[in-house]
Amino acid sequence: MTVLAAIIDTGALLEVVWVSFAAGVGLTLAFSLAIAAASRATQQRRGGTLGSAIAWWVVTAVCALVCAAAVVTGVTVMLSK
Amino acid sequence: MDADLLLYLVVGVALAFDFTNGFHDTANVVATSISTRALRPRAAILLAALLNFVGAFLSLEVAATIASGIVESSAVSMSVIFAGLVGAIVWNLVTWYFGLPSSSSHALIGGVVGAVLASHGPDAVIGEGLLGKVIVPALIAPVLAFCVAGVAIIVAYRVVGRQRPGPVTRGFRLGQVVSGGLLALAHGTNDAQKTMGVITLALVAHGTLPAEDPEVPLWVVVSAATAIALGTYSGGWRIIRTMGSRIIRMDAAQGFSAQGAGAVVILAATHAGFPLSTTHVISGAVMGSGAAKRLSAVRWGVAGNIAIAWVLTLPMAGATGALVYGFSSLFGGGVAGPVVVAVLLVLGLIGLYLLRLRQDEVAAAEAA
Repeated sequence: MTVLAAIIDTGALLEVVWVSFAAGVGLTLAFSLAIAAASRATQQRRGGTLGSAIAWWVVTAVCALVCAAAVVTGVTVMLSK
Repeated sequence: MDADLLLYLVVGVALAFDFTNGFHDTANVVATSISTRALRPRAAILLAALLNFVGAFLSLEVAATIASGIVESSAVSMSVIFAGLVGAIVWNLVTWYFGLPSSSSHALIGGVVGAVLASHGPDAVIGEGLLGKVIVPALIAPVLAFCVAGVAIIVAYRVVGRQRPGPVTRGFRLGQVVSGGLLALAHGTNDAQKTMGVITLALVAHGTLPAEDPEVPLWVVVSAATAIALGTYSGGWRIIRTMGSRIIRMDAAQGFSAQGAGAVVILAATHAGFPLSTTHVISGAVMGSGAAKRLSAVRWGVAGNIAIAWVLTLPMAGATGALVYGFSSLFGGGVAGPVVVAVLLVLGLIGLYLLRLRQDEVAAAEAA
C-alpha cells in the first residue's frame, strides 16, 4: 500500500472520484428534473391551470440552465488543459 | 536521405494510427446515441467526426515525448516510434476485427514500451511510471464510470418514473446529442494530441525542429485532426454494435446516463491531471447503466471478453512492437527494415480488407 501511495497521487484520485460522482449524478438529476418538469408543465397547460404550468416551466428553465452550465464548464476544462 | 525516408515513414504510420484510433474509438462516442435512436447512424458519425476535428484544435499542449515518464526519453528513437506505432495499429485492427473496444492509447504505449524493451532492455522502462500512469488508471476508470453511471440511472428513473414515456424518451435523446458531442470533443483533444506528439518528436529527432521547446507545425495539427476525423467518419461498425447493443439493450435514459457519466469522469480526470482511457470509461459506464437496472441485463460474457482485451492490450501491442523492432533490425540500423515492415503492413491491410469483403458477401448470401 505504501508503495502504491508513493506512485499514485491519491489526492488527485480522490478529487476525480468525488467530482465525478457529484457532477455525474448532479447532471443526470438536473436533466431528469428538466424533462419531468417540462412534462408536468405541458399537462398543466392542457388542463387549463396556467399558473401551475408557468411554475413548472420555470423549474424546467432552471434545470436546463444548470445543464448548460455543466456543458460550458466541460468545454472550459478542455480548453484549459 | 535515409533519415528523410524514415521520417516520412514515421509520419505516414503515425497518421495511419490516428486513422485507426478514429474508427476504433468512434464507438465510444456514437454507439449509445445510435442504439437508442437519438441520432441516425450516419448523422451520429458525421457529428462525431466534425467534433473530433474541432477538438484536435482546441488544445495544443502536446507532450514533448511520447510515453513520457514511462520509458527513458533517451531510448525513444525514430525506429522505436515506428515499431511502437506498428504494434499499436496491429492490435487496434485485431480488436476491431473481433468487435472489442480496447484502448488505442494503451496500444500505443504498449507498442513503444515493447520496442524500447527490444532496443534498450528493461532498464529503459520506468516501472513506477507504467504502474502509476497506465495500469492503476486502467483499473480505476471502468469501476468509477460503472458506479457513477449506475447511481445516475437510478436517480433518473426515480425522477421520471411516473411521467409519460414518449416525452421522457425524446428528452433523453436530445440530451444524448449534447453529451455525445461533449465526448467527441474530449476524444479529439485527447487522442489527436498523441499523434501530434509522435510526429513532433520524429521532427525533433530528424533535426527539423529544435529539441528545446519545439512548436507543433500547423500542417501536423491539420493532418492529425483530418486523420482522426476521417477515421471516425469511416466508422468501426463492429465495435459500435458491441458497445451499442451487445453489452446491454439500453433505453434513452440509460444512454444519457452512460454518456453523461462518461464525459464527467473523463473531464474530472483531465482537470486533475489523472490519465484515464476514454474506451475504459465509456465501456464501464454502459455496463453500470445496465447493471443498475437489472444485473442480468448485462451480457457478462461480452463484458468478460472486453476485459480480456483490455488486459491483453499492453502485452500484445508490446510484443508486436518488440517483434517489429527486432525484425527491422535484421536489415541493419537504416531505413530498409522499416520499409519492409511498412510494405508488409500495407499488404496485411489489403488482405484484411479482402477478407472483410468476403465475409460481407457470405453474410449477404446467407441473409438472402
